[in-house]
Amino acid sequence: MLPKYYCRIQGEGSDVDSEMVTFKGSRSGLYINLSEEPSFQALLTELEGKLNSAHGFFRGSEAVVDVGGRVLTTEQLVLLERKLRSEGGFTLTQVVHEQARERRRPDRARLVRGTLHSGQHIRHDGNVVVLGDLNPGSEVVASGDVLLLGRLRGVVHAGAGGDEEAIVAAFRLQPIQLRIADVISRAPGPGNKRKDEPAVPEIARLQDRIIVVQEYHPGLEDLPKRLVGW
Amino acid sequence: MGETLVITSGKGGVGKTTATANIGAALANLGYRVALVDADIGLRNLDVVLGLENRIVYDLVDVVDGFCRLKQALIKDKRYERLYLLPAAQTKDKSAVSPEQMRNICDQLKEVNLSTEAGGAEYLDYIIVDSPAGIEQGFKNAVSGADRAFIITTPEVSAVRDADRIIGLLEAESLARPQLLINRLRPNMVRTGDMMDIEDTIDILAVSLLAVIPEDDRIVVSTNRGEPVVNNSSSLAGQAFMNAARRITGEEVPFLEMDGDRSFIRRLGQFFGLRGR
Repeated sequence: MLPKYYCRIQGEGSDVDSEMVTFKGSRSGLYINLSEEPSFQALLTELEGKLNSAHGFFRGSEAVVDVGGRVLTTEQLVLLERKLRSEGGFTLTQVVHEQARERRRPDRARLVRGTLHSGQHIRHDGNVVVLGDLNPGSEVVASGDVLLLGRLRGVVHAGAGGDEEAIVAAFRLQPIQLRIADVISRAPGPGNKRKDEPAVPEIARLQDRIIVVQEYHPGLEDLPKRLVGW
Repeated sequence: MGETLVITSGKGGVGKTTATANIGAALANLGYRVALVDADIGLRNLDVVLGLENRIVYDLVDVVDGFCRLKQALIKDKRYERLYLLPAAQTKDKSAVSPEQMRNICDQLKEVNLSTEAGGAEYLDYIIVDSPAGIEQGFKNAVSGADRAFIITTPEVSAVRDADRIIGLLEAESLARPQLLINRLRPNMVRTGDMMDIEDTIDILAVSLLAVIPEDDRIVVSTNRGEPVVNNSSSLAGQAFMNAARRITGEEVPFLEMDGDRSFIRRLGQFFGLRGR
């Protein structure tokens, strides 16, 4: 059985350790830390040695593996899971990933009902959803994504904490200015304003440090996936 | 019990004072007792537009400072017997009055017995506060005592921006759902695409429409003479202000046909009908 998704356990991080593999006990089971050692094979060998020296002490318990900054391929994940089961009698329940830890932000989204008029502004650490328009002179600053069920004619800053994967999506994207992470752009066209109103929902994001706007389709394939809480 | 209305805009010169004078006169014409309050302390104009400048003895600041009673400062209009003016002081500035004091004045106005006969009881039906331009103290004073707010704008991008800002500030003062007056509209320019149309304006501001006042040369003449234009039946603007007053009282009045452009007005009517539902 493979763990379904990557997630993070709060309060526990990878300790700086000279050892390639370290074990930590916790109430829910064993927390196994894999170091930054580049060779996955070397890690597996080390893991196998440690599991063998435990003489089946952990049999039947659950394990969480922290893979640090590395990204495991499916094959590696299968190997890891198999090794834990056969050598230690573990059930692998979670894989913790460095990037997941970094990307995590409050999963509370702020829901704003109604049009934001000039001079009104929303600042929120997390995602912001607006049911209404953003009029010129209004401003939304969010550390996460900004979703607008209406027309965007004000200023939006998504990923204000530096998150370059933050997105801005709106039914009608006609912002005076758009900011994602530390990149600022203004709309093209005369008077710094898009003259033709886009007829479809659009999504803006950073690509190679340039804000790119494209038509929104459900489930954009190349959009980094984030589940609740990410 | 009377109701306090405020007419405000953010931007200057879009017709707050003209609208206050004319809607006030129209309401008085309809038989309501109306007091107009000039909140533009230091830059008073309402008295001039009404032609009552030479009758001012006491003003709003005198009432606040306790130099006179409220009723003493109320000036009765020379043409409309149910219309009164509470003038602003000209020698002071906005800081002479606080929002609390303004609220008190508005509340007290509702209690003033206007009857000159012994045992008579006549109270104001409407109090209309003419707000100064801007979003500072004067604006805050003007809206502090209001039960309902009206925003006036011209169909220009800058005026609409300011109106939008005001809508946000009114929300903060819990005067949500203000109604909009679009002033100085030129139907022929709208038709040629040289002026913002009504739908665009309402669409941006997301408020309901009270009235559209067409551009009218007679307004200039009327304000200079100190006579509201509502008593001039040949003035389209006058009719529009009269309709605005009737809608304020709750009456349903169809929108004016301007310039005989039926399709334009029909579209407007439809739009308003949809909004109202």
